Amino acid sequence: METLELLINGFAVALQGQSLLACLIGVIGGVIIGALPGLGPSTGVAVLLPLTFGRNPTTAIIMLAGIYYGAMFGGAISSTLINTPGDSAAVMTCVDGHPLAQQGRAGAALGMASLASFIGGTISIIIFTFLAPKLAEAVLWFGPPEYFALMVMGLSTVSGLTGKSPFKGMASMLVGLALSTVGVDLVTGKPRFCFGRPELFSGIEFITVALGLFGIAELINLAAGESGQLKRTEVKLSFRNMLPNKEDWGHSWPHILRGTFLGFFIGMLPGAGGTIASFISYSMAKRRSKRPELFGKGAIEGVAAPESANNAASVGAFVPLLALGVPGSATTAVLLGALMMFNLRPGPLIFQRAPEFVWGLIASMYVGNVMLVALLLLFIAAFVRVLDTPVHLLVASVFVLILAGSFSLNVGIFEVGITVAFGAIGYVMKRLEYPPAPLVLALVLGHMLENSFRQSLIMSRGDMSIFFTRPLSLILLAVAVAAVVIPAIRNYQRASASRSI
Amino acid sequence: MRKSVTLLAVLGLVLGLCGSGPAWAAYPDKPITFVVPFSAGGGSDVMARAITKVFQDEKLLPQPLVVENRPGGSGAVGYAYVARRVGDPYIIATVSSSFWTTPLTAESPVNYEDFTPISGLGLDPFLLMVNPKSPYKTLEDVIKAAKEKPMGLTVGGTSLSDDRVCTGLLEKAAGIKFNYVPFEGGGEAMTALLGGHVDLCWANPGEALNQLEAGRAVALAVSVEERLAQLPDVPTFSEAGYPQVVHYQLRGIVAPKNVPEEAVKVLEAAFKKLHESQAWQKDYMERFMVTPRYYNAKDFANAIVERNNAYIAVYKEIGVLK
Amino acid sequence: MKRGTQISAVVLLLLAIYIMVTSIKKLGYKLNGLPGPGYAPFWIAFFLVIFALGILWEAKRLPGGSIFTRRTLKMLAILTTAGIITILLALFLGLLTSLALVAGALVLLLGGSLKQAVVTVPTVGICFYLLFQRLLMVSFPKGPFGF
Repeated sequence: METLELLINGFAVALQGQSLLACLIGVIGGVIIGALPGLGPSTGVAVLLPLTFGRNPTTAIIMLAGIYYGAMFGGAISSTLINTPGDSAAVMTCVDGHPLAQQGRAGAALGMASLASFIGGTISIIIFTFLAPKLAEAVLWFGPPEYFALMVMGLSTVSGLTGKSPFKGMASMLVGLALSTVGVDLVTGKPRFCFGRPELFSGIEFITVALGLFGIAELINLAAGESGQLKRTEVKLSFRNMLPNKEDWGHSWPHILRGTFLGFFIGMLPGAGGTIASFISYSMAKRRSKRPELFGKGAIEGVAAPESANNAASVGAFVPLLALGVPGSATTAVLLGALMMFNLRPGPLIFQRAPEFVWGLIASMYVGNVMLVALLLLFIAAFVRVLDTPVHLLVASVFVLILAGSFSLNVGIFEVGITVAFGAIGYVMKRLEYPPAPLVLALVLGHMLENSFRQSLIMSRGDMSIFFTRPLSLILLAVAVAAVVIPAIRNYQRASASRSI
Repeated sequence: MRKSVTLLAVLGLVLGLCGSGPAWAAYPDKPITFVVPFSAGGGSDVMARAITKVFQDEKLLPQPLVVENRPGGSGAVGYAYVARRVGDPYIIATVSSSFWTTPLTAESPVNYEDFTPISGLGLDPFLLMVNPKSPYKTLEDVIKAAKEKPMGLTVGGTSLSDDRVCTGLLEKAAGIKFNYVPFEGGGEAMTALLGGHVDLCWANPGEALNQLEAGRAVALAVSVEERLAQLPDVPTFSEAGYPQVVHYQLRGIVAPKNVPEEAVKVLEAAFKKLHESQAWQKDYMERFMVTPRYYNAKDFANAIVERNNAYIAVYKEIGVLK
Repeated sequence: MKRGTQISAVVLLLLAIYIMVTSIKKLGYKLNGLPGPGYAPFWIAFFLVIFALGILWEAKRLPGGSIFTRRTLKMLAILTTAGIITILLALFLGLLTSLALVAGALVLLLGGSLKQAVVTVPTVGICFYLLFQRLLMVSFPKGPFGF
């Protein structure tokens, strides 16, 4: 086993004092940035990048990578406690994490998030260790038609996210899609629905919307005393009480495994990434769960599924970065710049040219994941204390924190305005029972959906058959159709069965 | 009316006196904001941070440069932010293709006329790439195939950026028509090429080198007058008989309009020293495969106008501009 | 609920009609025989019309009564106004000062004591300064006091 030997050498690098320290700083920084509303790993990596100049490149990249997957862990904290997504990949964690916190099970939700993240991360690193160069080939199967099919598949999961009224759910999704068309058109370069504001040229950032729709809307709810008082666990916060119990695990483990594989593969695809992975993982979990009615009201597997997926995706994103030399996400794009800065050229040759770096980095991911899960489990009790804060202080401080996060994302006051506006809209939607999740999902997917559709048709010069003559695209589209049709048939059968009784 | 004109003149004089004169002997007496109109981690950001580091290490200015990212609108937001600070020498910005392309294609509020050129630092040429498994081994193969089948070959590139311009230049020079497929970024276009979803794509040497070395992509030609030192086997378009296909991304530094002459001189001198420094050439230029070329403020001003005309000409050709 | 849903459906309808008109008139439905910039918005809006009509039809069966209570409406107004004021103040006083002042004001408005509010202002200011400006190196717009 050549790989094992290389991995052991990698551990020799990763377990040096210097690397361990870098990893620790990285993951702690990652958790903080992940937990801050709105700010995601790409900001963190970019900010810390200059600090790593002139250091040993392996140490530096270990630290930067730590920020990346650390942020995936951290995002769950603010999602669960204050219903404010810490970063875009943590949006789905709000949906069930926060209701759990309202029921006094914040500890269990966070424990499950950490452990699911750990499992998702570690399994992915194992896959990565043994299969990275081979998997990189799979990334190349995806051209524009396949991306289009994948996005359709992602959108088809919306049918599982609608609340009481399917009409309202679909309308929410369509508004999300409409918002995704704002910005400069890829093909003509002309602004659409920008009203002359250059801030809108690059489109409406989805996290800016999610901060308002989830975060601020929930604060209004909280201030109005409508959301059921936030409360800490009734029982004493002992270490054991905090962890998810046996029943939770029984519900969660299949979803963690599915989330891991889904997350890893979607994370590998350039442009798709952790956010989309977490959405699809959540919707699949809801569909396959034995108790779908509990989703959105505090199902622990609704936390496990997206969290395992987003961590797996953050590892998956390293596949195209290292093995192909193309960045798969905003964060890996920053990492690519960093690698070049250190004169390490990622690409198929890096495994031969800089083995101590590649394997040191891989080994450090194992180490970092262990550090993260240990740190988070230790501090969950402290995080949960946040919920003891009197409501007026909590609302006031979280409100300004969300605004500061929204500003920092793009360094723009305009974005703060968007967040505030969607806060009000989100609250009204909540009162009218429009589900917010389809809106943000569509906003994430819409951009790629339209672009890949138009790219495919440019490639085929207007021939729609391009979507059905390519095998992978055909399979994905078939899965999407099945995802919509099968539950519909099942509902119909159930309905007619109950009628006949 | 006359009164207000006089008032303005006096005001201008007072401001001018405050601004110029002995006070400027000390320029810069506070840190200079270095605006990157893109997100942290992009090409311009990496360059800005590398510049900042060399400035600091080699003490090229008595005060530090502080990088500030102002992303949004393909540069429109950041450039508008800088342009608003008319006459302020404590703010400078990086220049890359979007400096020209965004004002031309989208409705950007400012364009190159709202800035004072400081220095040009280097240029990124473009390589025409194919997948090694493709039947096209040389530029001639490509052009022959394109002549046989107009719109038959797909070219991947970033939206309306330099990739589109290069495609347009080659189409015109060779009298052919490609099927241009726009992507969101260079990485996506390159992935599509590696996967065989498009026939050709354009890339900077820095982006392409990994793939070239690994044998996953082949460069057919380079869009500058002379072959690149690092890629001596890649012919230029003019060698292949298309001297019109010359295009590159110009990288440099600008300040807002009406910055005092003295400040421009100080900055210009500092960037000249940057260009001459070993660390800069080795740690940035070589690693990112940017072709070093220094322009002083005056030459850079001319180069900016020349680039702008070049973009306009191609955009008109391909119908983006009327 | 009934009235609220009906109003929201009408808003969605108007939005959809606006998008459809803009897509066709201004953006262009087709471009060289292929889907143009207006293609996707047009179809999105088209389906939005259908679902908005569905919501309108469904609303008939909803119970009446307001979706807001006095208190919820008040909180919606307070937090939205606080957001707008933060933005306006940031233009004059800088973002840090603005956030700190608004946080203090919110503590008071939501039923905190004056003492708590007074403590909140500098705490938020200092924490955010350290967190965002020092640690994350985000440059907040500055006010007349230089921060």
